[in-house]
Amino acid sequence: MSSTYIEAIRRALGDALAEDPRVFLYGQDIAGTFGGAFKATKGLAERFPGRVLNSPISEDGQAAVGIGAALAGCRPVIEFQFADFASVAFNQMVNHAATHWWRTGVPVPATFRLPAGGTPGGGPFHCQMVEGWLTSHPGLIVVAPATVGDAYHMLRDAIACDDPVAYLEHKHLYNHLRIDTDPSRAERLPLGKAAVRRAGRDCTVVSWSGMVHECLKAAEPLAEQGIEIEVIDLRCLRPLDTATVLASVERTGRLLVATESWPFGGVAAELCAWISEHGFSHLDAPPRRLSAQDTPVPFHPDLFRAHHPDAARIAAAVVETVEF
Amino acid sequence: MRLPVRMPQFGESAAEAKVVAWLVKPGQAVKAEQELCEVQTEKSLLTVAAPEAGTLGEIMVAADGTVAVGEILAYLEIAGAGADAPPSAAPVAPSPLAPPPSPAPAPAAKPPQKRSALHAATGDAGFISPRVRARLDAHGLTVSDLSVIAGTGRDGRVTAQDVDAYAQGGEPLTAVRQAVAAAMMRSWSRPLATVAMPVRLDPLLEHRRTVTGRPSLTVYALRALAQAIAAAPTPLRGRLVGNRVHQCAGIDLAVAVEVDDGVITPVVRKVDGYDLAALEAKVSGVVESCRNGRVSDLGDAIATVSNYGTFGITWATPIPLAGQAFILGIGAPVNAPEWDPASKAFTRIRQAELTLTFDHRLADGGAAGRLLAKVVELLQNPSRL
Repeated sequence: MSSTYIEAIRRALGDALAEDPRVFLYGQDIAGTFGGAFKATKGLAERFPGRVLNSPISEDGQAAVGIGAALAGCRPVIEFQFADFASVAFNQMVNHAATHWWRTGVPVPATFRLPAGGTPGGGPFHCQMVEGWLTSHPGLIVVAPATVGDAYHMLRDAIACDDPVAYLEHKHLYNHLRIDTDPSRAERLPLGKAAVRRAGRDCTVVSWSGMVHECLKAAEPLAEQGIEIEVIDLRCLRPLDTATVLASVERTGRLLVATESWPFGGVAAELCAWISEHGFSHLDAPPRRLSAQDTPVPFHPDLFRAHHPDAARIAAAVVETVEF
Repeated sequence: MRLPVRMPQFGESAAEAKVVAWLVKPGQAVKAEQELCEVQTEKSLLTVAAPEAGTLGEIMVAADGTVAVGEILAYLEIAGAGADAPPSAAPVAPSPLAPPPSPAPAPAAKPPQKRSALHAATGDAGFISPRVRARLDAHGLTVSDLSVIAGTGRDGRVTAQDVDAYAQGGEPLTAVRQAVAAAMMRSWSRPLATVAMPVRLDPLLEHRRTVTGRPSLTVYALRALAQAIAAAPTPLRGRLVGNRVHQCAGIDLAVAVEVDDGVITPVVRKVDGYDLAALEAKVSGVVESCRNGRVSDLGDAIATVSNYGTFGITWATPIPLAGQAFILGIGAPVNAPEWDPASKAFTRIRQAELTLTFDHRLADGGAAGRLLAKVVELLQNPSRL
């Protein structure tokens, strides 16, 4: 059995619906035969009648209904068509879902699915990597799977988690990433734990979601130059597995964080700051961020490629860090 | 074409040198490798040679001037087109120990340098990353130790691996030696001075036959020192902590005892409370315990008595322990001539040198000398002990 990233998501949704009667899906155009903007829910409405529900075009309303249902004992999975439009639901997610347990002791086990990340031609409203906003808020778990196996297991874990979870799924990986095995049998790491995707001694390169694959692509030509990078896939952005990153930096003395998000604030900045504070005495070079350009995401594919970090730019940044 | 002649890096540590003399005058023709000037580093007198044949141009650092490594000593006018252009492949400095080429003017093939002129002139050997600094700390090394480590990093930088390799060579120090080394370093950070005085031993050697247990020279010295301290106040009884003097309440003295691979200094409390026979018994017991690996008391004391004479040493300047203001040393007894005014002839006596090495912040040579003179006086009149 083989599976793409999007099929692993569909499989996880189906398995969760089958195993837990508290689970239901709520999104735009997901009921009936359409199956949602990216077909993540295709076929599920027929299999689970009454549990795959259409919402109006209101992310704010979707999130509010999800939070209410979670408080009433359900396990809602809210699908936004694009992570960019989660901004409309921002108040519900960060002021209500993220704080509710801290204010009342009642958990909000809602999962928000956010199709995120850039594809050429997507433009400023359909390409954003939005973890920078979401990770600022304590109380909200933020995950960003980079592999087919993680797409399955982390969605299952998100639905099973008693805290509200923002699940960032990368649109470019949907159909570009495939494994030839059953994703439910792939290795399963706990939420909150980063994975070392490639071991190396010269520079720690941290990323998540789609950018992990660019880092792994950069590792090959770098190895030919004699530079072995250690690629860490954070998997979970909040909480952040600083222990795994620090242990790696202790070995390599160098840190590069690659992200397709913007440079200002965000996970890359947080990780560099954290390592500077807690791992200073292990560093041979300043921790470095490689981010998207500090502009809105451009529409034209050429401009998009100039805006976005890629394997070549990662390799160049690694060389500069190693040769600092 | 004008070629700068720079001060090369001779050896690993010298950062600057003094120009002693110019061997060639401006305008004079020179051959390649001909000696241009003599420079004096901290360690040696060396010569700087012409990198190429040409004519000596302007001298930038005259005789007696000081020049930093990488700085321009003079210019050499060489045949060839273009003013001030560097030779394409010729080394800027003559020696294989020369620093990497300076960035200004940089050879075309070299990528632009981002660092300051100082960094460029000395290579990047001066950069110490936080990781290297932490490795130095972990190994108990200091930045000055870096000068003897050959850096394998960029431009000769010392890497954490270089520090580890350097520090992990050799054999580890035993625990006892580590303790001694640490204690000596703490003590050595003070200004120490030594005074010495010979003591005539014949009366003492006669006297010890009459005392139970035949007390050792160390025991006599302990007893005499305790009495000298009790008899007159001495600033050396104190111990300096910051800008305050802490006084030792009792007359507690330590004895240096050699054990396997080190020295330990057990303390005898209230030495003035023992007569010679009792003190001999006490000290013998303490020394015996130390040699059996059992030490009862290594606490604070005023001072230590070290009978280094047992090794045949006639004179030494042992270092007092960090918490003590001085150490009294006893040299090996020797035969010495003494002028006898009665018989108008030299007679043979037994004599030893006593040394007193002290913390000069607490006392001066006068106070130390008076204390030592009192000890000598008592040892020469053992019936008073």
